[in-house]
Amino acid sequence: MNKKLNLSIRNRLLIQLGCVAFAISLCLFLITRIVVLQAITATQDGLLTAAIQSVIDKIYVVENSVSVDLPYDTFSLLGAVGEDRIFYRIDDNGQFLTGYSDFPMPHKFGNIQEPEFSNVEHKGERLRIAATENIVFAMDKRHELRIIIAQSQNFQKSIATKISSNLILITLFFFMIAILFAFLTANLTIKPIYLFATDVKMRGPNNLRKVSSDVPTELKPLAQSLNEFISRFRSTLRQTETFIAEAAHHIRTPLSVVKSESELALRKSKTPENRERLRTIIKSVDQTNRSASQLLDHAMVLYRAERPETEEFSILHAISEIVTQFKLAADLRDLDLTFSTDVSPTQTINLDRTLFETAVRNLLDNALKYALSETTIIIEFKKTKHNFQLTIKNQYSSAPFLDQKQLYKKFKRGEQTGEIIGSGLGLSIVMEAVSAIGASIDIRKTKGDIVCATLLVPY
Amino acid sequence: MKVLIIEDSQELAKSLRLFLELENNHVECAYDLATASHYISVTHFDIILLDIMLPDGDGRDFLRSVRARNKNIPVIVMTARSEISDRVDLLDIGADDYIIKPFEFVELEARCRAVLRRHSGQDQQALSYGNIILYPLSAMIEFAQEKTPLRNRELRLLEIFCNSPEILFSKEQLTDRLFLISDEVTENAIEVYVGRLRKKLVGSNVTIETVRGIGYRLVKDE
Repeated sequence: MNKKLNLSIRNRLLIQLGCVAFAISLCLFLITRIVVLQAITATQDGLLTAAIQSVIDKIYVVENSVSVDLPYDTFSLLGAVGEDRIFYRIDDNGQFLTGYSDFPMPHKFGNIQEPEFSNVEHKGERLRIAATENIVFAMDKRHELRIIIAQSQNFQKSIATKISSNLILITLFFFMIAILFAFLTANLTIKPIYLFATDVKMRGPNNLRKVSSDVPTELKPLAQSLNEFISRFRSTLRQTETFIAEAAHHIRTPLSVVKSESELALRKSKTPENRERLRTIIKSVDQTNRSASQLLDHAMVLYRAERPETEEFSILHAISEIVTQFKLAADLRDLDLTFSTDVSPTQTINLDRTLFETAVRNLLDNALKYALSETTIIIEFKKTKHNFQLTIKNQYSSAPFLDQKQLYKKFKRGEQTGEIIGSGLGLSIVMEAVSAIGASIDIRKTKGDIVCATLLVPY
Repeated sequence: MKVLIIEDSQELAKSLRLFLELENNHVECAYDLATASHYISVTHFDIILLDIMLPDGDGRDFLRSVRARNKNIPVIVMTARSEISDRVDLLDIGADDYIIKPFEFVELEARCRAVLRRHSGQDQQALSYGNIILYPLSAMIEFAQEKTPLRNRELRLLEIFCNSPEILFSKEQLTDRLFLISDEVTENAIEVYVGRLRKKLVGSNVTIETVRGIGYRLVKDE
């Protein structure tokens, strides 16, 4: 059970940024809360200082005694805010003078300007105490006056709670915004990787052009490695293609000699056995030649798919030329070729002409090969809303079942091919060429044992 | 017909020569361009069969120079390259047709015939025997002031007979000249085409005679 958690870079980034956003939000909340509480306490301290000062202002020395005229208005002002409770106590030389006698005395006292502040728990209430020590003289007698004013913290608590609630909302809002930014940042960071991956993914199976070098610095080593790999692969592929092309080329001339000599021998031969043998030799030569030709075609299609050379040309002219080229081959098999079109000869298209012509040539070659003798191969070329549509129909004596999965596979031949010479590469060449030019092909059996091939070329 | 074969493979050139001579043609072979240039400067040829890759140069350059010298000799290029662009280039520089190696004699014969037809007028191509006139270019047969269309193989069969009337052709000979080796030929294929031609010749004074066990020939009715 060593299952490794395989998180995507995007999710990792999202989690990391989310955690950072959470930590920042929490710190922000805590710091702000502390500052707010400090501000509230400072305000309360200020009020208590003012109250103490107003008490001190009301201390009078009469003869040898000290009297205090308590500023009740100040106390009621303190108490009025948030219905807080006020406690006070004044001691003279350690003797209780006035106030709440049970109120505990703090350990430390400040002076008039800076009273000592502390927090105590008294009668179930948390109080803020301001304590000061003041010395007055009456008739040379030293009076050490200790003044304490305490205020409950209901108002401060309610303000702190309100501010905290707002702070939570603000922090949550901040956190959500941060998450949103984290999401955007993660996506923006990942985007070049996606673009890079899409560039590689969207390529046709034979597109071995270099990937764009316009990638972020961090991805450059990856792009470079990929390009180096593509380059090595292309070089290997090219060597193979060149080998196949040259091999096919060098096979043809000796094949011509074998075929011509065999044909001559056939024409002079009288015995049926020898004639049959010679025909078998010639058929084998044809089979070899056809395979060589189609391997050559295949190598060329692979090469052009990798490096298409687009050009603008008259599509009707290109098709007509191919049809004309096949006229003699059709005549030799007693087949008629009819070609009809509504496309103007001036109508041009911009794509790799060689790939297009290879696809059409192979389709027509197939139609000719399998058509029933003395029938007509119907070629229609028209322009639809989005495509140029080329349809080739040929009649079989009994059209085979066309397995769409097997149809375009290399070296796979259909049913009922009988003794018809072929390599099983024709339709796979068509498919490769068609994919490389962004077109599509559909071959299906229709009524009356007619096989209909439809090539759609978008314009 | 005088044919010049320009082909560096001596074996192939020899086979072609033998085949064309069997068809009653006069054939010269040149294994390089220098010899070929010499031949065409001293004599006239009805057709040239030209290879592209030759030891002393490119057949295409030779073709260009032939056309530049205003020589209107029909030229069929024998090429090992099958790409359409190559073919288009060849036609552009003045080839009348091309044939991809290896080819069948039937195809070569058909291409030669088609090129020669294009180069000469239709009237010159009419073949006649008895009261029938055969127009190979329009695939028509005429007798008793009536024209009848012929399918390709019927035309070729009648052409064989009209070119050598009263000559006996075996079934095998006719099969070799009528069908490609790659064609699926049934046992009675020749009988079928002979039968069709006989029907189309009804009313004329010629007929296709069967010589039992030997073959067929075109003869005039007695």
